[in-house]
Amino acid sequence: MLFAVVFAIPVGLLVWVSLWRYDPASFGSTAPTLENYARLLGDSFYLGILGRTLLLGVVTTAATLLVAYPMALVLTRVPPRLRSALFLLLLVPLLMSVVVRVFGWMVILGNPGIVNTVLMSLGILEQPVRILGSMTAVVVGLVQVEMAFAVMPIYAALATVNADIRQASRTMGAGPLTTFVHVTLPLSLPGVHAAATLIFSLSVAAFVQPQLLGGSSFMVMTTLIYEQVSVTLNWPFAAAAGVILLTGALASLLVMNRLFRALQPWEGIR
Amino acid sequence: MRRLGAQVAILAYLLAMAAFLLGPVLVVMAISVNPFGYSIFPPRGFSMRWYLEVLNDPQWRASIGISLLIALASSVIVTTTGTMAAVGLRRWNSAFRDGLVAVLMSPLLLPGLITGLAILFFFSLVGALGASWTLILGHAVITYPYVLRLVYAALSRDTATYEEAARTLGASPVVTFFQVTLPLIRSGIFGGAVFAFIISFDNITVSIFLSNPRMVTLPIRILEHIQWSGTPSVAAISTMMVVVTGGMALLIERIGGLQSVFGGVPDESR
Repeated sequence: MLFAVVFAIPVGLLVWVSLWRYDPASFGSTAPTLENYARLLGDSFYLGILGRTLLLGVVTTAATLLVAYPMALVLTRVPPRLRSALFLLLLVPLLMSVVVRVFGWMVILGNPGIVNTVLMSLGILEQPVRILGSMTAVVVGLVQVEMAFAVMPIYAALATVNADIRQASRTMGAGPLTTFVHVTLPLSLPGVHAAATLIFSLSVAAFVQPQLLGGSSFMVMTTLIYEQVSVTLNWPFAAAAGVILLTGALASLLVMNRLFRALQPWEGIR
Repeated sequence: MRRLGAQVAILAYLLAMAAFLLGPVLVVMAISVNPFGYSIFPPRGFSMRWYLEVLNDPQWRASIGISLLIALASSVIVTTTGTMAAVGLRRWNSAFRDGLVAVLMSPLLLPGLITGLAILFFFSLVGALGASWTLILGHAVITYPYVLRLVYAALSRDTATYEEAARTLGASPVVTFFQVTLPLIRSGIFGGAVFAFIISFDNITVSIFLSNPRMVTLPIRILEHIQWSGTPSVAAISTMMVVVTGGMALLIERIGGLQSVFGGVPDESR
């Protein structure tokens, strides 16, 4: 019961603190003010960070779905033994610390890093390219960590797609590609929707990847919050940024809901 | 011929995925045994130098101890209270119960950094900031949902029937709980405890706000080390962490399967 009390208040606490006035001398004044929000939403620098965060969410979601969908499809078509092995391959990395995996990516993508060394020795690159500090690096780091979360719901949806329906489509003369595009893919959309919701939420909330792979040149809401708390010590502003992040993420998810509903017009009929 | 081509394509895709998912961790492991003072891949030579360095460094040792202590303490707290809550929740009527479960699960839905921020505000408001138990309690808050879910899932099976049988045969409620209920849900409790330990041991988003110079958890020290220094000692400590969490992952897989922990997909092969 004690725990319930601890949980019920986090968002309320966040909103409350976000209404404080920042005062370096004392901890904060109690007169509520909206100036933290005004500062956040009135400054193109902070709006840019919010936009970058949401863009990162969209790009990562698209990239993860592209990589995860074939994996889910393969999982439904392979013998059980191989399927178990593949599940293990997907799940074991989840239990390894995010910091460790991101450190691995820093070595791979850095300068001099593995990618740069290989590309230069192959003669593809003349000069090493700077990957760390870009959106590409952050997306790669996120996709690797979040892939399993996307494969699971898509696999679950695909597993319910009746083999008889696919067979029927083939019997009617549709080729494998037509069957996939018109039968399998549409029927798996609920799983894709669930995966997209999860991946987007995880991506905009990610902290370690933007902090280490993006750095100061790729600041997002979470790294802004951390900087405000630990460097600037402006807690009310950090709280306001947290509320904005939650609101922005929620609004984006609602838009995504709309989009998926438009893609599945038969949903209401079935 | 086309079938063969498709199979080769699938195999290539799976190998690429394996490299993508396991590559970063393998790279870190390879770096940890290189004898030079910087992170280089592929390793030239073999040395345990960085392992000795980490194990002889008082700061690394302190962080290892702190992280182990916090993970152990918080998982003990969470497992006992979580099991009690799960057993108790079953007795209530459904509407109230569903609401309570939703509240207890909320740290799963909120971004980790936001939960961390709220926990920081909470401890600051009650004037407990800097106390060592704040880290333990903070970790307990975020690992609680996992234990609750696992124990609750274990309970929902046929336990009620067996309990009723025991009561009919004359066993007291206490005897029934310890002799019937507890053995039936043992794997759920154990899985929850191990999972809580791993989550706490790897946690960044709560620790980053509650750590102070006297108390730095292992992942936070790794994070700082990667950002400011970057000697291969961080690869050595990371490898040790992977071995600890990897071993625990195997333990879970042995007990009940990783998939059930992630609320995943029923696997007919099992």
